[in-house]
Amino acid sequence: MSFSSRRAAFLRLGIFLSLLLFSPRPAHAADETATYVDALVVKARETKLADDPQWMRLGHWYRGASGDMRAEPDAPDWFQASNGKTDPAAEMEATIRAFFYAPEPTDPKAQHPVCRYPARLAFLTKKLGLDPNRLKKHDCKKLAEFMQKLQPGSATLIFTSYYLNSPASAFGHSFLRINKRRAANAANANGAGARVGVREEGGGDLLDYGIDYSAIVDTGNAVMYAFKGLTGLFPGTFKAVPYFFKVREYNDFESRDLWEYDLALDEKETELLTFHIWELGSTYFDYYYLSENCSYHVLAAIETVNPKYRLLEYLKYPVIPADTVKALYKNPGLVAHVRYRPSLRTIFAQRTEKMNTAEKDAVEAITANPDAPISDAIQGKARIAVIDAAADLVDIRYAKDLLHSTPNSEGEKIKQRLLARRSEIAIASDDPEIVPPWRRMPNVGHGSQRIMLGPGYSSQGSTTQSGGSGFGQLEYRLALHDLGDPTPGYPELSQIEFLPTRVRFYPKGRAFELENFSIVRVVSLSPQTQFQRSMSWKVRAGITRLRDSGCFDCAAPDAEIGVGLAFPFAKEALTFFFTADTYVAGHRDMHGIKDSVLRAGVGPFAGARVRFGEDLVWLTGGRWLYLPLQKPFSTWSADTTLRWQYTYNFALGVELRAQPLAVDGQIVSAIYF
Amino acid sequence: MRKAIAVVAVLGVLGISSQAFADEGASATVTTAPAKVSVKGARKYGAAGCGLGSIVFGNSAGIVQIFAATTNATFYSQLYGITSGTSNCDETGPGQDSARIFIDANREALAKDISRGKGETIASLTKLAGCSDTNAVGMSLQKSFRVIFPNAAVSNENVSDQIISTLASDKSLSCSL
Repeated sequence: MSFSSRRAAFLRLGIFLSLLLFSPRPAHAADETATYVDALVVKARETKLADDPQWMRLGHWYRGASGDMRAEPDAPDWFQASNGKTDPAAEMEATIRAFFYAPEPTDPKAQHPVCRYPARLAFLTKKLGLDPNRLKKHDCKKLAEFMQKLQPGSATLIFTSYYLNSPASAFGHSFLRINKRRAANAANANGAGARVGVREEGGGDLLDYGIDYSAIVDTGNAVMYAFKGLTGLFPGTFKAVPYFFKVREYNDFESRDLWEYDLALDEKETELLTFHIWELGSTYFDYYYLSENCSYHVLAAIETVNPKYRLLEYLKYPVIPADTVKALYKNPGLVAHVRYRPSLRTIFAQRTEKMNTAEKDAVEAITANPDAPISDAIQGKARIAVIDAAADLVDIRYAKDLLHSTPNSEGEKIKQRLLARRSEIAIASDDPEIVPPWRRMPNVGHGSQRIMLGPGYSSQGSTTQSGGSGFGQLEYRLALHDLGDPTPGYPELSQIEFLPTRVRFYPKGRAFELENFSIVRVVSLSPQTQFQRSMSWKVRAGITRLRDSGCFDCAAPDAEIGVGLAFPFAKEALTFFFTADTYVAGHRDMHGIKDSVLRAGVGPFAGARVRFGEDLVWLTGGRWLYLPLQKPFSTWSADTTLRWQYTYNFALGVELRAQPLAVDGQIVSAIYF
Repeated sequence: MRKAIAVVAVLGVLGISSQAFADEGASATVTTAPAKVSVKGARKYGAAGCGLGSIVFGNSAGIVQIFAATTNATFYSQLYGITSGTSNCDETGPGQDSARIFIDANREALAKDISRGKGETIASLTKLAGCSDTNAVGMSLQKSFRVIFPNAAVSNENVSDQIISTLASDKSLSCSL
């Protein structure tokens, strides 16, 4: 027996054995496919291909804290193996077999595995040497249509910026855009690319597809909604929507700036990403607001295209959309280009910024009455600019009417007359010159969590000992930003915080005390301008240590809400704000309403914020509260903080706080991460 | 103030069902109204089609929209599932159907751009309609503004018809519609 024939015999024996051992089907020596498939399975096993990080990512398997393997997709039929959710190797074998053996589905809605798992197929082709030509021919019509629609050429991660004034956009949001393949020199062929920061393909990106991961909401009840969202009871799915819907929704209706991070994926990687999105289209994930949310799964999808990209490991709990952008930057070279798509408000602000008073007045006048005369002094381009700005202002003011294109609504009527007036001047408008506000880019912002540490002195000390006392203070905040924090990457006049908690240790009395705590603390200042009259507001709920004669040194659960006005100067570097506050608190030691334990008060608040350059912010404010039917009949508090960002993610500050019966001050060192 | 109340709701202070808001977005029945060119008058104005309001805010109630967005959920109609592929509002290839979908969804921005004779939506429309020069398209549409948008009540469908006939009849634009 020659060497080669011996080897062949050995191989046959091996295959025979493997068939006996592993194949659930009767072995037919003549069945070439079976032989081939079984050899693939053996190879996959021998090479431990299922441990390949890319395979783990394609199936979204992760090792949990207890050490067991679990996949995140939650549709049971998404796995080919019955134990596929917990066993990547079993899933790989089942996938290989399904590719070859699964019958063509009779239900037109169902897909053959070859059509359903194009990314897995691409992976097995490349890494296992699976020869796709040996598969039966499948007419993957839906997949082909999807690929034809998207024409994947490149990918972009989009961050929709914070806009607190609609509480809707508090934390930002992120999603993907798959950009169509574009001819190399097609750029600028169509003109409209002149606007700075907008893609140069002449309106092309509006026709690309936004890929979004979001929850399917099945309840209109707010409490149920919150409960289900936090506990993973909504299914989340991937969706593909033409990008123009996104732009209209975010840029126009919600007036949020969009930051577009073009990824340096090549066409092959983009194709794999699109394939994988297709795969995920036939499953769902349990949606968790704080962890497995929009931003998380979008990053997880990007990670599948190349093992060298490491993204999810940079996310923390909770997953904040801005962190996903920062995770991109942890992979040098992954972000090829950043573009900025200004919101309607930004564009409007830009249009009016250089106008003189007469022009600004004209904008206001024709927005109120579109037929109002425009002074003859405003001619030519200036006249066009006035009408164009007014049209944007109508869109901002009547956003709701225009969202639904409500016929004959006030907004539609004004807009109709304004635009008709504009169209009579047969000259094309100049594009407003938009300079991207680079310092607002989410990736330059400080970390989403904060720890502040430092010594302080209180004139009253702790409950266990009276008289002045030093203390050490620790604050931890889960998220995200307050008005005194370093400004880059965040909106200038918005604050949103989750679970800021301060505890103090008084060495003299050996006492640990809760100083304050908030579930949520939000401040949204809307600067009053000639054109914008939105109210500013704030809201907070938690626990505050009160130090007045109505309640001395009580850590009282409390809540407050305030509404008012903010006045900006020097491009919002200086802002004064005033609110009318309503405050409630309860504590067993409280001299509350009619000797109860409840305090309720109303009163004015006045504050100021000054930003010196980029690094130093001074925030100060005070409030007086009238406490009806209570003794004392009023109380007050005031505080001031000065915080200096000396390097990225680090700041130093001093804080002073006064209440009727105590004054305390402290030095703080803040670390953001 | 309403915004502030909304945030209070986020705090979980609000226990009431928001059924009262539920009407607001009851127009997510996009399935029943395919945006086909031929179905003239079959669509109710503003209630269906591919308009922004009916697509973006689908069937979610007002208060839920706030929750959804604070928590980074969005709420597009389920029709936009990746594999369903039958939404009728997501064609972006060249052709008249796509142009109509685009006009439906971008009506408000497009109206402004047409009045200005220039803009991104006109550039996109130029692509969809296979015209050669976006500047020329912009000027031509601007000239026809009053025909395209005769009043504040004109339906999206009429707007689409007029835009398409304007583009098709102006031979100098060499659109392929």
